[in-house]
Amino acid sequence: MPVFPNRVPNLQQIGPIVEVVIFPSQPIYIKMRNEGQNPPSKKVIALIDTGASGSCINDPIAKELGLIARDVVPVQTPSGTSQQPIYDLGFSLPSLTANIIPIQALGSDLEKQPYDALIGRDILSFCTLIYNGWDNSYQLHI
Amino acid sequence: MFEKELEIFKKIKADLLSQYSGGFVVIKGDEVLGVWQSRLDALKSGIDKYGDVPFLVKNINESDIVINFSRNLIFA
Repeated sequence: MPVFPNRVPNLQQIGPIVEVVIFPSQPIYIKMRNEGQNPPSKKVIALIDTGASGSCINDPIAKELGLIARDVVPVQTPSGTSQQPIYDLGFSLPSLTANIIPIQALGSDLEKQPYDALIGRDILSFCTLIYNGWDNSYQLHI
Repeated sequence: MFEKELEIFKKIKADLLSQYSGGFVVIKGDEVLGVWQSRLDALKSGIDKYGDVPFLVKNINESDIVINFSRNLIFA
């Protein structure tokens, strides 16, 4: 089980962040490869967000990768509930690029945040997360 | 987004639920392409048929699963 240990100067302030790579959905990725094209990918900083039941990416990243929404789902935030488009995409950690995990993620404006994605409990459902506030460290086991 | 497709889905949802509960249906405009067991297979079939253009891939369930965020998000 690969482990991604990390330590930041102020974990309470910054939060548990990891570098992730985002790809187009698996069928698009394979189609592009079969056509001799190089599928796009984007390395971004993601915040591990145990307060989110789903994952989320910054809208400009979705545009840059040419992602197209394939469903509309109900989303609940403290402001209320709304229907929002959701993207199919591939997700990986930099050292796991051979292992691209298919997920769905919402698009949102995260421009004013120091990260471009939220890793929600949909991804955490197959991970172990150890958060050690005492020494500002955390580990993500996938 | 997907107003037409969601309208079609609403009309055929009861039939789909009785036969394919838990599956994934692909709808583009008023055309229902088919139902697959996995989302990836549905997505692949939609892309093979229509290309990388908007089409709906809907999970056939009694109600949609609500995605919860403890923070506010800004949506386009």
